[in-house]
Amino acid sequence: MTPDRLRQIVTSKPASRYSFRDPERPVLRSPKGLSKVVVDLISEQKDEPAWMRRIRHEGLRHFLRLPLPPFGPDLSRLKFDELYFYLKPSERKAQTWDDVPPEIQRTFNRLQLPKYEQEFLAGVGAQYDSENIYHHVLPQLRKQGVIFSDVETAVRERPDLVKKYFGKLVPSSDNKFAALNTAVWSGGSFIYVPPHVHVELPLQAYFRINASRMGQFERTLIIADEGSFVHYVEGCSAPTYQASALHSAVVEVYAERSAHVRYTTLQNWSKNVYNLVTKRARAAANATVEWVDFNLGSGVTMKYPAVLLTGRGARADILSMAYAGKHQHQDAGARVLHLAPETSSVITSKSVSYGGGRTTFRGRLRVAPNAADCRSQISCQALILDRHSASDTFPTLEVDNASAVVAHEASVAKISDAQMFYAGTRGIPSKQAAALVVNGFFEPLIKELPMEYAVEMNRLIEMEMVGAVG
Amino acid sequence: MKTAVRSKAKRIRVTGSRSLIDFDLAPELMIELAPGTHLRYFSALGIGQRRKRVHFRLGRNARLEAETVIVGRDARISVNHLVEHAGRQATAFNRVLGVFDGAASATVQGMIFVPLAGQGSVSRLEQRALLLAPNPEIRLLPQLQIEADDVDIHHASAASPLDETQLFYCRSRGISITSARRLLVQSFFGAALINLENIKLREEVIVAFQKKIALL
Repeated sequence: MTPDRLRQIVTSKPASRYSFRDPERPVLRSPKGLSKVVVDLISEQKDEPAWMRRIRHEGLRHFLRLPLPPFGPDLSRLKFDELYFYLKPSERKAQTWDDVPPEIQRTFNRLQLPKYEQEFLAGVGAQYDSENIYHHVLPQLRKQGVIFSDVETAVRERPDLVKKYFGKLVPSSDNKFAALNTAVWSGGSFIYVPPHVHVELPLQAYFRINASRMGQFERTLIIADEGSFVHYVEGCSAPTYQASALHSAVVEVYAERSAHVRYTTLQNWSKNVYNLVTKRARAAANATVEWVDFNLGSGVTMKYPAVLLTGRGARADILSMAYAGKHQHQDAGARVLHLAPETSSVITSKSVSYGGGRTTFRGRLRVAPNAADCRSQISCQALILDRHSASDTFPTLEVDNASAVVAHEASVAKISDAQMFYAGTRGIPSKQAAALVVNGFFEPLIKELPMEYAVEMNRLIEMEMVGAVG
Repeated sequence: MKTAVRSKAKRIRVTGSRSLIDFDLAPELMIELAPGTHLRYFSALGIGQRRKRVHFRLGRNARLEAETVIVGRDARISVNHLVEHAGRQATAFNRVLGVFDGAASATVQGMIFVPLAGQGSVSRLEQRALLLAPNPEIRLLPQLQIEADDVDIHHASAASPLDETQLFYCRSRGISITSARRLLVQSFFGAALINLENIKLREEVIVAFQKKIALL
């Protein structure tokens, strides 16, 4: 990154880059609410084969019968009948930014996506409301057999892969929101990395909700074949409306033998968005899956990235950051299932709540009877910045093999008086000192991001901290 | 989400400074610590009682030191503790240690709940499970529900077999493998038993545990 670029990021106002909205001029909008008519409309728009439409119908059936989750934040105000489940922003998908409709192009320019693509990304997918409007991957990767497309394209061009993997880790009967996504999924990313191919630069997808009362249901499927490596980054944002919006994605990641997948999410939805996501990965023998999960936005988040360690020597690393301000409840966590011997996992969670916000860590660690010699460590730290805020921790450790070594720790505290006093003696005002401490608190996680995103994340946290202390 | 004992729980109100030994008081207890009280609580499961739910409710400036030791062998054990910091500046140290052998299964649940009234609270919860049997079924559920900001709360849970390094050390000192394992299991409980001031009672507990697990 050049010094000019760094200066530009540091001095810009990141919040204003996300909170703008474009006039709504969709090519097609489904009727409000969810029904078989809407599901069939989506399937027709995508010209899908019959087998995918059957999968959607099964998803709808499960959605109608399954209850809301019996735990977590209050979802009673989420009115499915008030939402639009499909909105098509343009007729075609572009291969270059010049072919993207001007208004949408302006949106992504403000979000700096084309710039990032030029500077340090191997491929980019951009989704606007329900559809992928831009997709591009470096030609040299395509020559190596790397596929980075939307899932609709994969359904048409690689049905063999989609049939093999779609819905196998997260079946539509898994939970109500997985069922909903299965019925109305649109957009998202499909990635296939051939054996022993290393995609050194990140692949990025950006999801933007523009319309009011919108539901966005992208479906992401990543298959890293034997010995391969890929880093996928997804970002998301939306303008603020009075009415609620819903983001309910499903992500399935398959890391085959000795593969390595890193999945980074920078979630910055506006506070009227319900962010209810199911993410699950399967790691085969000696494979590694990393979830790096930043939750800064949305009014309600329920997200528990999970890894099934099914092969000997597999590994899971989960980093989770949650930041809950006024009117926010971040209910996030992690799940790891040790289903094979000599597997290992590390879960690190850090959260800050202020201004009446609430953070919850909900975790599950299981060691199966046949999973000998497993190692696992879970660490949760929470800062509460004022008396109006709250923090919960609900981990579950299930150990069914005596050779496992499993440890969990959690702590909750406020910013230490000693730290504030020290900053004060150095002439640093209390609000700035608090922001410094919070940035330092998150630093071990933020340093896992590419530089541009790390700087952006620090700026966003500073913006959120204004008024949080004092 | 705090878990409370049911209405049929035996209620005990504690004042002043006292110790409470619970070998079989009642399966469900509601123990209320008056302001300024200091309570040392000791409980043993697996030698008689196998199920225990206890709600500790701490008043202002109250102090709780709770030790629970569990020996599980061919039985299902269930422990559920709720420590509620109902008053300001209360302090709680709650430790649960369990050794599990044979076809043991156990659920060890512990909640620290600090409402807004519990500002200035310090609380610790520790759960440790030592696994001797090849296929135990152990469930550890340490939980926090914190609604005050000026607090210092920490919990830790761990499950593991006997430490191989420690066993090797003992063997290198000429101690037989059987004696080494016994030594390590006894020392695992030692940290909790040493807080049982009544030496006669301490010996009774050890004898009772030894009947359950040959390694003790």
